[in-house]
Amino acid sequence: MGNTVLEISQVEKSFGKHKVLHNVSLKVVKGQVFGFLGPNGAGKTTLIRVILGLIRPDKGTIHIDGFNLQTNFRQAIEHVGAVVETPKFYPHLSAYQNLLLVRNLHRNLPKSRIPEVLEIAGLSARAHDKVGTYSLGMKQRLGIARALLNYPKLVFLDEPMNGLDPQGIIEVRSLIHQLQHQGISLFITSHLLHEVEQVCDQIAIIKNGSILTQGSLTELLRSDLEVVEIYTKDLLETHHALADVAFVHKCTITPSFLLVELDRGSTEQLIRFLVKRNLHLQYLIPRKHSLEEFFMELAYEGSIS
Amino acid sequence: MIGLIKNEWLKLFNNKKFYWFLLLLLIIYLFPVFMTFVVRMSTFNGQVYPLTLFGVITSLVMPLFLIVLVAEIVTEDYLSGNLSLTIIQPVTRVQVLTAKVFFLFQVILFLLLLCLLLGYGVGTFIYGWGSEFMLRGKTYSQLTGIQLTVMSYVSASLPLLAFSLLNMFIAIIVPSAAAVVGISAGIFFFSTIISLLVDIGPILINTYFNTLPFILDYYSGQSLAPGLFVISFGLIFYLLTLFIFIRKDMVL
Ligand SMILES: Nc1ncnc2c1ncn2[C@@H]1O[C@H](COP(=O)(O)OP(=O)(O)OP(=O)(O)O)[C@@H](O)[C@H]1O
Ligand SMILES: [Mg+2]
Repeated sequence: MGNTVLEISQVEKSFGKHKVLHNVSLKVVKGQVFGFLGPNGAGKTTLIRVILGLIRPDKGTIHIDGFNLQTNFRQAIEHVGAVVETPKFYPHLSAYQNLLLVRNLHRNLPKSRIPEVLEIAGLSARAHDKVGTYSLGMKQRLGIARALLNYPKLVFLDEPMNGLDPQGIIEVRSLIHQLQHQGISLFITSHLLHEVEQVCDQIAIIKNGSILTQGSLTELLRSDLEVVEIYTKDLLETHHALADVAFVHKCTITPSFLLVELDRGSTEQLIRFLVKRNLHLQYLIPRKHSLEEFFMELAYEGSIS
Repeated sequence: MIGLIKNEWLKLFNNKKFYWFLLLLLIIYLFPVFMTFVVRMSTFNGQVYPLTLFGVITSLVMPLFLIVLVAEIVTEDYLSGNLSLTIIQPVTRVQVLTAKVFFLFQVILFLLLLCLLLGYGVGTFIYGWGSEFMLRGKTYSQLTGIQLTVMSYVSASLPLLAFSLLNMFIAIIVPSAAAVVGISAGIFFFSTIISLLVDIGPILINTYFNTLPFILDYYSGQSLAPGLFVISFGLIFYLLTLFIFIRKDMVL
């Protein structure tokens, strides 16, 4: 418990009749980078808003750093930093002034912290320019700088790579690693799955407001299954034949091949089976189970199986 | 809480509109001067000058400025997503809203005192201080004149704040700054016209903006009961606004 920075249990939220979060529970441990994945409209931003106290959940509890958000809001939020969607600023104020607005709301936060975080975000030279003159990438970095102002223990980044060029993405990624080394826990949502794969050690996948799966990256990727692509002239027939095979878990038709999930180590058995059935097996490609495929499989119902 | 109020001032001082408004106030206080030069008559002196403009300032100029200011610090702040940022700092929602109310009160007092000084300054500079304080055909001692003037200006802050709280209520439920200004200005002009046409005075907040008659009544021995109405009016809208704000889902 002492190691848990964020604990969400059984959170539900509806907007009118539309239920956006179903019984969401999750836990983030100190120093962890938690990746929160899901297609558009899955409820990622809504969950972040609930955790930050911007939206009241209909049910459920949220504890940050051991403090109940609903009853001890100020202590709970004291060491949290966040960028929700694209960061918002007062465009006619300078970057420095925008950060000053946040520093003024924290006790014992020295003004000297402002140039410090501006330096981290690489914005020192433009500190006194109006934010209205900033590019999207600069605003994104300034948002992260602002989230770091209060020496946070837990930082929320909602799609931090959004709108960044490749150089910007590399910079943000190294910033995330830097924060991780300082023992800061991160909660990151992103559509760029490769990025999540590279920076997160724990992930959860959400769809239509329900968490489909969560676990450590290695755990989720290890799995007891392996995936192969089968290339054959008899796509339909093969698909049909595999329907009641015990070691095949799932078989999906794509225009050019069959995507088959089967028990680890049973590929050889599969080949023998297909040959015995006289199905035209052209070739077979084993697939690495990347997070992206994992995500696709879980989150999108693109299969005709 | 002090940090929240400080932030509002920081934003106001960096807002161009504020400086345009200060310029407007200066022009308003110079306007009668031009008029007296044009029609070549001068019944003013420095002592009475602030009160000659008091009605226009409190019943028209200040309310319109406050309508815009409230739309900016509540509706615009919410729609721009900046209010959400404030909410996720270690401050409570009650503090956030109450700080805005204190800020409004400070701005109103600041502007009224500025107008008071402007009135005395411009009036005395152009017409001289003068030998007597004459108001509505009655002559008062110079000291009484200053008392009446200062009390009127300062007390006008209460009905103006109560009016701002009504606007704040509108600003929290209407999701567009332009609509907030429109609705608030509509209510303001409509009730101003109503109060000119029929005598239902006491229940409209407009009738309290010009506090001079109440101060004169008080001076001649009547109670300050109207103040009670003004304070309850403000309090009701403050509580209503708070009630909604505390429950509001901040989705921007
Ligand atoms: N204020 C609101 N009123 C009604 N419905 C809303 C509101 N905000 C969000 N929703 C709905 O809640 C669902 C989840 O939205 P949310 O923004 O949390 O998704 P998301 O996972 O962050 O998506 P994206 O990847 O596009 O950012 C959507 O169906 C959305 O339409
Ligand atoms: Mg989102």
